[in-house]
Amino acid sequence: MTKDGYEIDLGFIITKAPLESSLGEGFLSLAHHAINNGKTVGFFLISDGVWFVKKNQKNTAINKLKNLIEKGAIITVSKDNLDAAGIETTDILEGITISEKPYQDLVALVMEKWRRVMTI
Amino acid sequence: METGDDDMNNPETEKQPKILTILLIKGPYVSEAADIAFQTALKAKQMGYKVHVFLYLDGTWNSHLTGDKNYNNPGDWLKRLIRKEIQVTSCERCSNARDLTEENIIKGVQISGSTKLIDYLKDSDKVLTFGG
Repeated sequence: MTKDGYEIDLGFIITKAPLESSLGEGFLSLAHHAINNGKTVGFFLISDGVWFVKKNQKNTAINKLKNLIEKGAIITVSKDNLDAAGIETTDILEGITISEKPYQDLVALVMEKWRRVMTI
Repeated sequence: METGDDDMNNPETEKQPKILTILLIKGPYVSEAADIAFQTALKAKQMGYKVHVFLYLDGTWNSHLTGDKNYNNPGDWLKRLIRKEIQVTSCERCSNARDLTEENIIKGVQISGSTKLIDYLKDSDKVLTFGG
């Protein structure tokens, strides 16, 4: 809990796939630095951002994401967008929270749980 | 009576809703940015927050979707925001640059200078930018 009552110091919303924009992976790096400096972080993956959580990808982002999960980052992914992309829930990394009501959960995180938020 | 019950009926101590400003900088049909921005705004309003939407740069093109379409139409989402009394503002200079006027945009969208955006940023609890 932060001093001003938020659960998470820094939240990131990612709407783009890993190879669509370098900013997505940049957010993962930023999150690593935040955690290493004692901050708590969360991610909400929506639209093409859901591709970040698919298993067995051959890119550098997935290793960064696995590492973040191990370090306690809370990753939430939109079920609607997983379905739209044809990604089964059995085909995503372990430790991911699946949101059945993505907009409700997204607003709740942004307004009540995340102290600061960045979007891409 | 428990302490604090009187306060609940006192308008001076009534809790004001938190304010969310959504800044949209991308036009329709290039990505899902407009859809995400407008659906987030609607949900936030439904959840009791005060919401402002500011259309900036190519985001102003969304205000031009006045017609009906038989496929996904961000203009319909925008009209719904207006009906739900969400304040939607389109950057004046960005609109002028694209020949967008009050005659050819969705009714209820206000064209206003970017100082309005500064006011929103100053007053908001949270700001989300979509389309970056």
